[in-house]
Amino acid sequence: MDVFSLPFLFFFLPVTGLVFCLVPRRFRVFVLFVASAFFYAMKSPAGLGVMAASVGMDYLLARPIFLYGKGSRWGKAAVTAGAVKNILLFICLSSVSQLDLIEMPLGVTVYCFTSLGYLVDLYNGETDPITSGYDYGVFCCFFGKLYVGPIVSANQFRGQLQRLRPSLSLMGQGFVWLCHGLAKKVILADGVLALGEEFKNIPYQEKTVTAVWLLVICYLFSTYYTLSGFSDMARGVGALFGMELPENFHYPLQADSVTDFFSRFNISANRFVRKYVYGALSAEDNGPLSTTLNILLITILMGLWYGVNINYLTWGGVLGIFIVLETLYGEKFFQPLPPFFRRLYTFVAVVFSFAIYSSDSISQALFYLKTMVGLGTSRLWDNQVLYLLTSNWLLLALCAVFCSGFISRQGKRLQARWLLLSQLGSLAVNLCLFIAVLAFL
Amino acid sequence: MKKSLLPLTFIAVILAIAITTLAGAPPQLGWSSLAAMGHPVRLAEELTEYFQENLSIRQTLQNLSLQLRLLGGNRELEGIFLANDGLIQNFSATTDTSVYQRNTQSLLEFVQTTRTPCALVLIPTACVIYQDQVPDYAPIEKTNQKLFIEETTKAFAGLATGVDVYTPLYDARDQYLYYRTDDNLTTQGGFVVYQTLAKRLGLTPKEEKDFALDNLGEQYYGPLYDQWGYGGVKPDVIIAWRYVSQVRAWQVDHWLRYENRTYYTLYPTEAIVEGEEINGILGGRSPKITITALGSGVKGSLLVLGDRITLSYLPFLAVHYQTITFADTSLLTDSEIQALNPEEYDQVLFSYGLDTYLNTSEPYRASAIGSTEE
Repeated sequence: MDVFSLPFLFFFLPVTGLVFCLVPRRFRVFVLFVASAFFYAMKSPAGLGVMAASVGMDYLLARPIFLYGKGSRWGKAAVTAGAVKNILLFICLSSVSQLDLIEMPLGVTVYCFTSLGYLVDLYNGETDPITSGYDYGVFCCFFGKLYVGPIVSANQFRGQLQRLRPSLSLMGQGFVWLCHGLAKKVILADGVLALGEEFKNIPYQEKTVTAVWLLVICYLFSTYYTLSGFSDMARGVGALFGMELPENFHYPLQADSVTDFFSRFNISANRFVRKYVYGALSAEDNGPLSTTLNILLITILMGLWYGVNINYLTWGGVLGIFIVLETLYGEKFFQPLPPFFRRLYTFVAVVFSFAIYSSDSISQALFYLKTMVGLGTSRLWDNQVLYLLTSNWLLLALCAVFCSGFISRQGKRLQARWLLLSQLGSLAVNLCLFIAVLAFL
Repeated sequence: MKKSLLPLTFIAVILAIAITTLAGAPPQLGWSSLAAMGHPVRLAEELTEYFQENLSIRQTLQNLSLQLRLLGGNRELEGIFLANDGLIQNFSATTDTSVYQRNTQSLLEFVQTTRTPCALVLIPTACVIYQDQVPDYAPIEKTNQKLFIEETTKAFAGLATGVDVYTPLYDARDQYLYYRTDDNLTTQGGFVVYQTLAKRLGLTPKEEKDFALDNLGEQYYGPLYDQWGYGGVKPDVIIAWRYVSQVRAWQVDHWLRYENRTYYTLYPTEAIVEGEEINGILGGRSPKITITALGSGVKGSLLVLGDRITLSYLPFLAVHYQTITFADTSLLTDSEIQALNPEEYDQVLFSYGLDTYLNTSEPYRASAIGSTEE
C-alpha cells in the first residue's frame, strides 16, 4: 500500500484521521506512531524491523551524547557510532538494491539522515534531546514523509509534535498539497516515465536526435515530478495531522543558473549536505582549489543521495563542474547575460546532466550525449518520434507548464484580487484534480 | 466558513466514496480476512484488490481515464489502437527473422515431398488493411505486409498455390471485414478471402446473392475488448452466411480429444452462449473440425491447417467439398499433427494470419503432417 493508492485514500487515511481526531491530545503522537509502524509493515515487515532497530539504536545513542556532551570521549564515540551506522546502513542497502539483490526498503535515506542530523545537532548543543520514544519515532518515520522526505531537523519538528491539533485551515492546505502531489506522481510522473521508456526502447540504430532529447527530457520531468510529488504528498499528509513540513522543491526548472537549480532541487537534502559536510569542510580557507573541491564533494554526495551508482555520482560531478565555473567566473561572464539566456543555458545544462542520470551505464550516457549534439546520427526525427509526440502532446505540455510556476503565480494574483472566487476556484480545481487522479489509480 | 469549505468538501467526498463502496460491496469477513489482518502485506494486497474491483465510481473513473487519455492525443493503449469504429491490434513482427524463415523453409520442404497438391494463404492484419483509421505516424509496419505476402507466395511458385488476399481485402476496406473487438476476420471478411482463394484453388466461387445473411448475435465482445479494458467500443455483430442457392446439409464434427460434438448445420445456434456469439460459426473453436456435406453429390476432400482466422471463410469452402478437415495447430500436439495423413485428401491448404506466420512456429509444426519421425 502506497500513499498514492486507493486503500490509503479510502481506508488508512480516514481511519487514522478519525482516531487522531477522537483521542485526547496527549495520545495523538502515539496514534501517528502506530499508524506509521502499521503503514510501514503493510509495505515491508522485514524493512520495519531494520527501521525499528536503526531508529531505536539512535534513540539510545542520544542519551550518552546529551549526558556527556561535546568534546567528551563517550559523547564523541556515540555520535561517531551513530554517524557510521547510518551512513553504512544507507550505503549497504543502496548498493545491494543497485545489484537487484533486494528492493531498497522504504525510507532508508529519510530516517538514516534525519537521525544522523539529530545526533550531530545534539552533540553540537544545537538541539535538546527528544525524550519520548513515540515522538522520536514520528520525527524519524512519519509515514507521510518516508518516500523522499523532506529531511527535517529536531528543532523544526519538536514543537509541532507537542501541540498537534487538527486545524481546518491547515487541513485545507493539506488537501491541496496532497492533490497536487498525487497529480504530479500519478498523472505526470508515471505518464512521462512511460513515454520515456518508449523512447528508450527504440533500437540504438534507429534513435534520432529528437528522440534522445525527448527521452532525456522525459526522464528529467519524471524524476522532478516523482520527487516533488512525494514531497507535496508528505506536506499534505502532514498538514492533515497538524504538522507543517517545509517545501522541498521550488520550481527548480525555473532556475537561472545551475547553482540556483541545485538550491531549489531537493532543498532539505541540499541543506543537510551543506550543513553537515560543507559546513565542516569550508573552515577559513576559501581559495579556488578549496572551493572547487568542496563544491564537487557536495554535488557528488548529492548525486549519491539518489543511489550508490556511478551514473548518479557522475551526474553530481557534472553539475558540480558547472557550479564551480559559475562560482569562479559567473560574475564576469554569466551574470551580464539576459535572464532568458541564463535560463536557457541552465535548462540545457540540466538536461545534459540528466542524460547521465537517466542512463543505465556510462557508455549509454556517452551515446546519449553524442546523439544529442548530432554526432551519433544524421537524422533529426522520424515517424516514430512524431507519433509519440502527437500521442502525448498534452502530457508534455502540462509537464512544461506546471514546472514553470506560471499557474501558481496566476492563482496567487487571483487570490489577491478576488479571494472568494479564488477559494471557490481552488475547491473546484482541486476536486477535479482528485477525481482525475482516481481515474489513473 | 470559507476556509473550512475545501477541507470539509474533501472529507465529505472521501467518506462518501468509501461508504458507498462498503455499502455496495460489503467485504466478506471470513477466516481468511481475519488471518490477513495479522499479516499486514496480505491485508494491503486484499484491500488494494477490494478497492480496485469495488470502488463505487469505478465505471465512471474508467470512462474518465479513457477520455483524458484520448484528450491528450493518445489513441493507443496496451498495444491496441482506438480506431474510428473499434479496436485494432497494433502489429509488430518479432525481430527474430529465423522464426518465419524456418516456417517458410519447412513448408517448402513439405510441398516438395508430398504428392497432394498444396496451397498457402496468408491473411494480413487489420491494422494494415484499416491503416487509414490508425493514428497518424503510427509505426504499424516494421514488416511491409503486402510485400511480404507477395514474396512468400512467389517463393512457392511452381510448388504450391500461393494465394495473395492482401489486395482484395484492401480494396474492400470500407466493408466490415474485421471485428471491432476481436483481432479476427468477420464472415464478410471471410467471404472476400474466399472469393480469391476459391479461384486460385480452381473452384468457381459463389456470389453474394447465393447466400442469405442471418444475425447470430449483436453483443459480441471479443478478446481484444477484454485486453483493452477501457470500454467505449460498440459490440460486434456475428452474421451467418447461409447458402440458399441449393438445398444443402452439413454435418460438423468437433474432435475435442476426450469428447466429441456434432452439429447438423454450419451455424449452430445451440453453440452460442452469451458473450461468445462467435461460436455460432461452425460451433466455435476445437482442435479438429470435420465438415461433411450430406447427400449433395459434391466431391473432393480438403485438409486445412491453420489458426482461428480460418474459421471465418471455411463455411464458404464447405459448399465446394465433400469433406473438409480443419486442424487448429495451436490446439493440437505434435503427435496429433503428425497423425494427419495428407495423402488421404485431394488438397492441403495452409492458412494463417500474418502475425501467426511471422511470430509463431505453428506453420513449422503444421509441415510435420504425415511425418513418421519421433
